[in-house]
Amino acid sequence: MYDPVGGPVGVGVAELLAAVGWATSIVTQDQVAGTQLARTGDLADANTRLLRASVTRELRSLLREVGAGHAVLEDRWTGEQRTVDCALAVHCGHRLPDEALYLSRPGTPRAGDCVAPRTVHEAVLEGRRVAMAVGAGPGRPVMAAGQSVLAGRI
Amino acid sequence: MSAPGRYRYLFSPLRVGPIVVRNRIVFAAHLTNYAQDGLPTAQHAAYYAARAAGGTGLIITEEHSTHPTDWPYEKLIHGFHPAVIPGYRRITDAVHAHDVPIFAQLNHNGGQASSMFSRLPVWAPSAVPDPMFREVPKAVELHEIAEIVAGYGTVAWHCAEGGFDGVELQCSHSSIVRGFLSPATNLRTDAYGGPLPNRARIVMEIIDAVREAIGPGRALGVRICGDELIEGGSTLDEAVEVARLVAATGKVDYINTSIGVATATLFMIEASMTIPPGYALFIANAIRRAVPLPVVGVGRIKDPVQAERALAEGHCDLVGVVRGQIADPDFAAKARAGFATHIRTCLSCNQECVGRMGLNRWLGCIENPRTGREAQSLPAPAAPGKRVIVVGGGPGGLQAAAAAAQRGHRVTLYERQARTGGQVAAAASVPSRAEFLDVVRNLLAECQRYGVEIRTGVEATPQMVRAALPDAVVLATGARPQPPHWAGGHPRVVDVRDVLEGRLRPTGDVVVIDDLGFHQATSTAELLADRDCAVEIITAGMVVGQDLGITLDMETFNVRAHAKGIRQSTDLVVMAAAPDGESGGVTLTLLHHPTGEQRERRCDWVVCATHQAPEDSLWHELAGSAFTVDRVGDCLAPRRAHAAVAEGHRAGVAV
Repeated sequence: MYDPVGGPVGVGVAELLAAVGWATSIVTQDQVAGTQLARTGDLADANTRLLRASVTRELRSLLREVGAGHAVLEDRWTGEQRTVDCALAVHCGHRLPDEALYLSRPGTPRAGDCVAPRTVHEAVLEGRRVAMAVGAGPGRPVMAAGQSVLAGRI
Repeated sequence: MSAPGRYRYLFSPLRVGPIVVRNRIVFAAHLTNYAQDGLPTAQHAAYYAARAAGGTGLIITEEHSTHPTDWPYEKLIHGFHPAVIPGYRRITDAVHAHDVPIFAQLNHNGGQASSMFSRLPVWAPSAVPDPMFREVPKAVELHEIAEIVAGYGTVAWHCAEGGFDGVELQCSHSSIVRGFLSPATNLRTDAYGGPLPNRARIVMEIIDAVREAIGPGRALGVRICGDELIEGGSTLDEAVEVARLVAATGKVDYINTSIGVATATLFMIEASMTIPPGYALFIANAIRRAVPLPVVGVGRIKDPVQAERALAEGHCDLVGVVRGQIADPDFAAKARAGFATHIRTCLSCNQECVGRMGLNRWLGCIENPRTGREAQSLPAPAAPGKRVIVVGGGPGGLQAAAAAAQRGHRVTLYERQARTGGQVAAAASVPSRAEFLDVVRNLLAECQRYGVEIRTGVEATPQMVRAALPDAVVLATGARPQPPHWAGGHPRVVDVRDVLEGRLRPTGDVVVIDDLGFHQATSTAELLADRDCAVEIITAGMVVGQDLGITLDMETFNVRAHAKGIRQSTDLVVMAAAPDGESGGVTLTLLHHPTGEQRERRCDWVVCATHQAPEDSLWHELAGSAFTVDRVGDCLAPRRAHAAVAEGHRAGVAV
């Protein structure tokens, strides 16, 4: 599991793979796994679950190469490289927006991951804004021009 | 000798576009977290005014956000809102009262942000997430680029209305403009991506918009990153080329410089004491040789001699001294008057400035208790001449004595050791922490200047204190090591202070226990490794030295630890220590708390960085005295040096 994000997905998939019997490692540039889980209160618990499931945490490491039966990891700070066994690499990194439809007609109202892939929170928030803006006249519903953060928002 | 005699360049005036600065010392832009609800505050005005009163040549404020999509941290000034103008006027009036020019820094942090505060998509040139915020940004469309450019113009106009003498465009370490300039974060294929002139297009457009907004009577500067220090990022050659493009517009009056990216290589922007002073001057040097504009050099320049040397060697025309003036607002005035040794020199410890910023707290300083409190008046002094006794010559006691003496009281300080300094002296005995000693050196010098009678090698007793008939007593008697509950009286389970203060010299295989998460364990481990010990640091936490992250020491410590062969083990709780038979060593029983597994670890010595006990016997013995007794720092509760200094100051001014 290569997890440069540190969110719930990387940790969750690592747990899933370990649960079905794969010898699993989670590779992160951070000093602990799943750093973004701190804001949900799951950071320590997640690391404990990984360790109890015998998931190897390859910490402060960058994934430099995946080859036949191996992967090359690099220490983020020292540059030291090491090779680990690897039959399958799962990339759990950031995604790109699917903009094909939008680019065919720029300016079409859009919300969520096709604007920028983030979490379900932003998708719901922007979906609501788009819906509220229907029939409200021209404008860009994701962020109304001139609207100030000091003025509050929907 | 006059200031020009002592400093050939530092106190010479310089024209920066339409502005003339009276000396070359710049209080360059830095975050303060003093804003409230997006607006500048009275604290901003008092903070900058104090540095203006202290003689700095030029002030450049913290960043002013140019667009609602830019809100990466809570206490950002929303410069795009016209409600900021009265606050701007309060700042500029306060600074101009000291005849010092002040510029405002304009910025949009671009992808180096999250949507947590704005609840809007983060904007960036391409959908490349920042390595710290880790949020995929929205790749801006052409009409949004136009909106960004217009935002800079709007904020520049607000700044002009608010009385600023100029503005600076932050295109360097945390900026959407940096994002466009950098090949690592700009993957566009339109007119704003690809070759450098395209990537720099937005800079040119912003310069046009801002110059039009501020007119010819105000200065315009551009701050450029000389090396992002990231893979595929901008390097010095491109930075010099950007400077040439900027200068060629004929609309810019000076170039400022920086190094690193605020989120990926922050430890090189606000370097701690482990990075040599002047480390980023090579950037200013290269740009200065390429453009006919004044150039600001930066990089942990913390005393006037270093600043003078940077100018004399031709690296730059102006010198950014930020932390040096956070620590001592009168940095420039003291240097100019020939009292450079009176400057409360910055330690580059990063504890209360950078560290507090990272924790969303207001900017402070470990050795200047007034930093961040400039808008709050001190209590009126009592009638001078009170008899004050301070017991303890660490940072808390020295600060209490200096503050009381400065307010006209007769102060005697007793220190039982042969020298003042307390635990700071021990902490600074590790080579990589040597500059930490400046906090007590500076305070001792202040005590001497204000006439404190300092008696070292004297153990203060209750009888002695009472016999002196004091009006007030301040206890700063520090803390004493206490062995962990599991130590069992083993002679080779010792405290870091035993090592740092030279009472014991462990050899062989040494385990260092990190219960505190700061420099105590890591620096002792380095010292032992330097003495050819095989060292392993063990902590119950998830990270060794976890608080090194907030002071930006984590990266450099880990690089040194790797080079010295120091091993690090986490999630381990020490359960017991037992004699290791004939070797005289120790066998530790360790619990891996996430899994419940136990293991044994045999070693020759165990050195503990663990919580101390307050040395408060004199406090109890003086209870019920006719005079007031206050206690500060570790003898109240063992913490870090900033608490001792802050409490010492409070006690000193409260006499």
